[in-house]
Amino acid sequence: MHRGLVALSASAVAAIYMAGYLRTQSADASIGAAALPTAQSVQVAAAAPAAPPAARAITLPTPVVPFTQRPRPGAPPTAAPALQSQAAAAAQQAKGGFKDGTYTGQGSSRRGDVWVSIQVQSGRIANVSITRSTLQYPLRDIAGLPNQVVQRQSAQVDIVSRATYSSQAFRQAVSQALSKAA
Amino acid sequence: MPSALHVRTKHEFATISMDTWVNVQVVADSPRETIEPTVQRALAWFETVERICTRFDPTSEVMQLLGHVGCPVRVSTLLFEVAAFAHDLAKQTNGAFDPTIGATMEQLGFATNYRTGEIVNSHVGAESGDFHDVRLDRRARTILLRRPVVLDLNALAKGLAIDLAVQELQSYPDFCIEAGGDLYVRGHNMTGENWHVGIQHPRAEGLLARTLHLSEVAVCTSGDYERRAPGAGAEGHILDARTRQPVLDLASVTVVAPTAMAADGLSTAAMILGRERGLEFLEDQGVGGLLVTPDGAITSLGL
Repeated sequence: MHRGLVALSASAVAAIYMAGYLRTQSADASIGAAALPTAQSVQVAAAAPAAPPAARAITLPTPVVPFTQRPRPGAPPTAAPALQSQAAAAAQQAKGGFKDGTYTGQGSSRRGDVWVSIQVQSGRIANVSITRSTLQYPLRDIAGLPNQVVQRQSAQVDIVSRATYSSQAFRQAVSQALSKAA
Repeated sequence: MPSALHVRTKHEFATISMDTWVNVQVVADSPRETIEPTVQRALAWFETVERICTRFDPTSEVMQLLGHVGCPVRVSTLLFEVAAFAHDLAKQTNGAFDPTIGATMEQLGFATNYRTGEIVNSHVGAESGDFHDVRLDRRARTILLRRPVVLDLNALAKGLAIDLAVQELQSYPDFCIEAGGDLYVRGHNMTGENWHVGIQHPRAEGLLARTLHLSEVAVCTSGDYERRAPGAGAEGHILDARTRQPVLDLASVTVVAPTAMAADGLSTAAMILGRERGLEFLEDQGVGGLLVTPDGAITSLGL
């Protein structure tokens, strides 16, 4: 009889953790300054994207504005339709790269907004970082929703399991920034 | 009940990794500054796992295998173990779950690197092979691709990252960690009870199919309702590797298991196997499950 997959997964996790792969990596640094200590309330901190192995130094993102202090986005840049700018960006890349510089973009979803900064060096994207985020913790959405229709128990939940939630606002912000670099 | 309930605080942390939000809640009576370094080490595992396992970056360790087709390549423990688990899962589902589905996924449009917006192209044909073309040698810790195949370890990588983060957080008795709906809960919530885990209903946004009160377990939900290929119609991101068609028999499968990697892999596999065989498979593996059909019928396996 085969060994159960649960047992196999547990020994795999143990082996990986023991191997201490992380110790040889600089991944700590990529998160380092990103998670801001603040007193109360929900806060969203964002890590810099992981650099590919043996890549250039990781640029830390500007500290994220805590949820409690966030200014209302006054006149954010008009959000071009994501698909359109993404297509433009892809087309531009096919033509031979972006213009060097640093570009910003903003993305929105029903969970809030996110601002990114993209550095282009030698026509290629050198770094993408989140500079600001007002994305709400998913629980906030759930807490206020009518829950008597399908839910069997009335207690408020701590956490929700669902199929993968894509970071759509992040992608939109990136494609908007890239459309400026085209 | 903890004796010093009044000083217990819920500290929340979040980041983006693996194209999704990662959230950590630690309930403790120590101040945030003392917890934060540990949480950062935990979150760093997500970056590490992604960097090694992503098929959206040609320089990731898994994608570099494509440059050595026909030769055994010595790999990191991390890549070996996740590939070995994927292989075992493929064997035990007779190939319904198959990690070599990567090229097919790419051609269906699941090809955008979310960090850069770049469209990846591995130049590997979708019909190029199956999991039998991946040979693993545990003693030498090598992976051999007999043909060019793109390994899609996404179904397992997020779960694995959660499990590694849990190891990192082991000095804290009460926490939960959640990434894109996969989660692990340990100890108790703010009110000293088991964690209240809502299971998203696949056909009613914001509503729950059930609430479970859990501790010391991982929960993962696979569904047809979140990630869709750009331009595709109603097709979800879970394919039957043998037919390369999207799954239609189930809308979502939730698995409760001791590790998130197992919960992740088993829920994906059960989605593909369908209602009857999926249920049997989960029962054989000794895990709890919740299967929801497209018309909303819910089958519970010990939950």
